[in-house]
Amino acid sequence: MKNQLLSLSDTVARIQAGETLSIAGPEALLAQLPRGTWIGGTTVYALTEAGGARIDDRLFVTGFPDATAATIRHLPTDALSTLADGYAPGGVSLVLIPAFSSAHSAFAMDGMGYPGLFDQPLMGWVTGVPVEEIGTTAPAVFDGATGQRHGDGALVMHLALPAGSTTSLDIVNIFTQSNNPATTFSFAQTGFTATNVSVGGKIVNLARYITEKGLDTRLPLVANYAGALINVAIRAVDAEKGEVSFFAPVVAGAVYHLANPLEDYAAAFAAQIGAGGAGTHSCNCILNYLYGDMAGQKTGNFTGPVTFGEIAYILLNQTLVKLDIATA
Amino acid sequence: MDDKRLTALLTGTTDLSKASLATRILVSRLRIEVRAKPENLPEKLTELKSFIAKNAFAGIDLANA
Repeated sequence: MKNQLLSLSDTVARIQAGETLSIAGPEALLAQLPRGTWIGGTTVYALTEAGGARIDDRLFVTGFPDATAATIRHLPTDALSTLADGYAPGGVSLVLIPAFSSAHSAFAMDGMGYPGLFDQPLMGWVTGVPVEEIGTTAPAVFDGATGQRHGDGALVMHLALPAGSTTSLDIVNIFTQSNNPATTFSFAQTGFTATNVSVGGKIVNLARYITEKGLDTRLPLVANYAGALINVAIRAVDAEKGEVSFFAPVVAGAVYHLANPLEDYAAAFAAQIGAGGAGTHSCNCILNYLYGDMAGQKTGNFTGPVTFGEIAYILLNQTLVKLDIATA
Repeated sequence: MDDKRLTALLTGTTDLSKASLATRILVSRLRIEVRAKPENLPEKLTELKSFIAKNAFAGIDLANA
């Protein structure tokens, strides 16, 4: 794969050359692209070779030169469970979903149970807007095949690969579990919001507990999924209402630990990811970008869009997702 | 892998750090579902076996667990 931060005209040239592309950038630029074999999602933040940056006048373009075929589908929310129906055997699939849409919620809540979802790498991200426009501007996805903009549903690109190709989809989570009984939580219900929670077997109101204890809500809740650390980021705490909202659902039955604090996000990523990443398709979270003050900071060779949620089979928060493809 | 070993996998907490991300997340979901409703173990066992049958990487993941 080839990652590049390009001007509008250079991106148009790549599309017109017939390349298979995944494109991230401002809506005003995505809307000007010609039809072709590409999918696009809105964001104005990216991790570039020069460091984290706003990309108001450029597009972050990932090319998939090894793909032997590409099928683009827009799935309405009520058809999300058919996502894996389009998997090309031995291939990979990319997915883009607008933040705050019904598809975002549905995928987050139910995606883990969709038939066949785990049968091939499914990598993607939740599209966003400039943070100052949250609530006033809607995130979107663009279907290059039709030229259509969608504010809801999932846009999927299924890629076929040459026989013998190997693929790898994984995550980099810079957070670790604190393993402190006072910040270990279990929820009775799966959802984007929670009122009560079990802490050491005692039921408390989470919002008031967070407020009383002065817990740092920039730190995610971290569950251990058989060795994979999966974050849920805290969106808001309303102590008066007694409700906490999250950027991904907490799952009933999972055990969550508040993450250990981090001094330097960029350094933590650099330490974990080493020298790799140059040919990797990756994305990273807007919360890491903001909380870690990553504008202008380099995070190794992993470049890609900064997103309102990352997808590696399931919706993730505050995580770097990376996809590698090697042809025989 | 036999049913006994797969059942132990679903009812236990074995760390699968070396397994693919797909296997780790799927097994974790099945474990949560079994813990919530132990009577669903046979159904979840069938789902895991189907996943392994369909995806060779999962069999390798779990054989090495």
